[in-house]
Amino acid sequence: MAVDKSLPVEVSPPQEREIMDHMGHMDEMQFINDEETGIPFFHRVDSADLVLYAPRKKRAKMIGKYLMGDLLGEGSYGKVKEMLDSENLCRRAVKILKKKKLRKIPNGEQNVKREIQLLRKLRHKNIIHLVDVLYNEEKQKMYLVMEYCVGGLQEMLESAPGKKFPIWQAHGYFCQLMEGLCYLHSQGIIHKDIKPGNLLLATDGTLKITDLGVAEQLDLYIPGDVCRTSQGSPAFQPPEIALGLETFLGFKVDIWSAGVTLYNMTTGKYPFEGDNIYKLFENIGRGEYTIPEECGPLLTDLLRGMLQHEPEQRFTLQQCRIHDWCRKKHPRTEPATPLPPLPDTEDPTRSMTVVPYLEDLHGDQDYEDEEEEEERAIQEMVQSGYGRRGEACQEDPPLEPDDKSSTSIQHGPATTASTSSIGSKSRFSKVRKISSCKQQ
Amino acid sequence: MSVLCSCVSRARVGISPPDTVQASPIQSASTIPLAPAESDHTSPSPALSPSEVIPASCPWCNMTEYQHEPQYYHIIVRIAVACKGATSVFLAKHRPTDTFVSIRRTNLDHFSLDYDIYTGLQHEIHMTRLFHHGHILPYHCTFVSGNELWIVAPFMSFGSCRDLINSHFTDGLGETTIACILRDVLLALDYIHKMGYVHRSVKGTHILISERGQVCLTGLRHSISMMGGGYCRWERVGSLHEYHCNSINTLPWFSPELLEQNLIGYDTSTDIYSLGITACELANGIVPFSDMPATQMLLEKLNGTMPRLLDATTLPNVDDDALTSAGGDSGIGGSMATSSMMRSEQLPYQRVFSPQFHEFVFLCLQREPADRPTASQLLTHSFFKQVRRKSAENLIELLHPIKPLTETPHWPKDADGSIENNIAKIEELDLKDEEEWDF
Repeated sequence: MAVDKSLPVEVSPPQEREIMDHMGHMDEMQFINDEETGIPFFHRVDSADLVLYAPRKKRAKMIGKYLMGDLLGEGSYGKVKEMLDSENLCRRAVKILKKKKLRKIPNGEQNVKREIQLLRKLRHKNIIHLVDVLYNEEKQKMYLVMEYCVGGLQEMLESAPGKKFPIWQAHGYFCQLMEGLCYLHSQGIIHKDIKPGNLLLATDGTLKITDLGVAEQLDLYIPGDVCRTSQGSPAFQPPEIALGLETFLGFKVDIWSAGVTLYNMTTGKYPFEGDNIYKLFENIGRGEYTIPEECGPLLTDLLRGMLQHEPEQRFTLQQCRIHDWCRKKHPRTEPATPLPPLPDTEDPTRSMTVVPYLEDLHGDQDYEDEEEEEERAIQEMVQSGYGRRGEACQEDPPLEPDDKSSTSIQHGPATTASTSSIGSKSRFSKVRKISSCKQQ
Repeated sequence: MSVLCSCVSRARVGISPPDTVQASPIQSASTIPLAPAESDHTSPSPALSPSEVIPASCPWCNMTEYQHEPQYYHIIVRIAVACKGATSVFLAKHRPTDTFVSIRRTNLDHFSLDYDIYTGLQHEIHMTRLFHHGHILPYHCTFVSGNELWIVAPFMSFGSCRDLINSHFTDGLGETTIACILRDVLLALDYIHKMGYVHRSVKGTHILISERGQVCLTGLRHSISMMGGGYCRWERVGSLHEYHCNSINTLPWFSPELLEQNLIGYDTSTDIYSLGITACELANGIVPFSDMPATQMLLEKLNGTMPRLLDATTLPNVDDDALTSAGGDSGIGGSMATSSMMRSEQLPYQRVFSPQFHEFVFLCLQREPADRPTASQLLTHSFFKQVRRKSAENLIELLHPIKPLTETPHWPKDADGSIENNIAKIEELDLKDEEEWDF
């Protein structure tokens, strides 16, 4: 039960701690046993959809110690949202998985379970880091808290002129992809779904390989890297899978997909295309493709090596890494392709989306309004039986604006501050006291 | 383990004789003359009586060799525990020279020693070896003994600025004292920034004061290079983005742009902001924003709330009720003032800090990083005009009634071997406020 161990017991306030302990006994198998396909990475939602939410006031919502932010994307398995760790103020992203939805996707729960298992033990700067896993039994939801990435290569490519990167930028990403893959392979893991959509970027431009939903952990006691199954994206599949061979070499699958990714990043095209998956697989199986001349001899040689039809003749990871194109320093002749601004906020800096929620949590409002809401909050707390034992990881109702002390800071009168510690009864003041204790 | 060992053994070679330290091109490249600070070590300051002068003890210019074996050090007392119990800090004596040293012993097999602490330690040793500056705490030596990593450093007997505030100056230090301290910290910061690094955790606990009044910046664990990062390796980057998830204790000192974690990132000016917060900490006795949850602090900082010094000009007069309600614009100062007023007499309301000091803090705490002056620009600020003499001498006098820890009466010469009493005394002095040290 590796999953249970990392429940954030030590960081929860006392009431929640009991809940978490209770959670420890939860049967995870019950949660995860349905069928489902590869999990697509997040798609941008149409900005038109978001207009609906705009006039509504943003209500702060806490999941454990995390404050929910805006939606980053949505996939068939659920939503990806931004979060803020309220203790260390680190930005996070959370994959919210609903059991109901997972059931509908073939291998869904199995894939999620495997992804958690794999991500838990991995630690590399080019692999996405899984920070925390939270469950809400009542709502049948699972939260995968991960390190925050500002964006992905796919969205950058889509916004870039010619849908490709300048060579030097593609080179930077490719080298990082090789490093990440090298680490994964050293751990006996085949990713099986390398593509621009699964490559994200941290704020400093570090590439992060994500989505290990269809990855395979090789058996440590069986030599070789023979695999039997693949659920990756069709356009990035090697001939041996397109032709439907029973077994194939795993490491070489990732090499092929990385080759297609490199081809895509540098040319803006795909080496193999097809109107439908059968045509596509037919083309891949035939193995005929062209490399545009503008790529130059070095890149052409590398692409040819990675897109070798026969897995045995295909480059190994080491051959790729020491290839002259990788070792070469590519001059920055063109400016970098930037991350496009988010469609809904149009913020080119991609700043925190939790700020409006923070304002809801702490912001100053009209005095009466606040008091009213505080009262309502207390009532809500009484009704929901906050703090009662046995309610597993209850999702907190929206937090009410903080007690007067926070706002008094703005308004000044020093006298209110002294009363605040006694007078305030809102939920947050409890959290607050705990956190202030920790600081001292 | 092996990585750490190699790091340590290289560090061993790295102990340089004093001449090379002083004549190093790095130091001469620094525009600010460091002469006053350097000369302090050779001539004992008048504040010390001859018996207290220890000839070869000065860490910056001594020829003493500090041996890499535990038997050369006499452990006197444990001062603190850090790193979730993996590290203990001891006051010890270097037997050959009979001088006080502080020793940090880290059990490398300790269960709580995770990857982050481990790499942090490595980085810290690396940085300390890299920097040679009179106001950055050096290490005498580092070595591995058994399963323990030993870090031998000079003993800073006045402790940190935070210790001073906790034990003696609960309402804050005096302005001249602060000027002396901050000037030395700025010299160190200017050096670090010119070396292409960002310190990232400038705060009261990381500013130590030696027996001679030497001010030293420490806490290099969180320092980060402006070179590289991401895919543009080996080039100086315009901005940094890394965010440390383990530095909960340092959050109040973090600049808004560092906390923001967006694509813009931060640079050396984040240290200037932290210095501004540190200035408030030293002057007010309390850290701004420490009375609120982290999330609220974040909101306040993003909205541009600027902490300020608490004195008669910024605080409403409590005796006057009308004024209290009217003096609404005291920023976060208002609420903090009340909390400190609860504890002590009405000092903060009566004192007045100079306009220069107020302006200094104002400049440091600008919301926009570009609006903050650099460390070298700040060194020419009129706030430091009051530091006329060498700050080290000055400090000893300013701190006068307070004695350094090593000067505890009857301390080394306890005839009846009742060292336990002394230990108890020291523990009382030292462990009072900090069970867990934050390096």
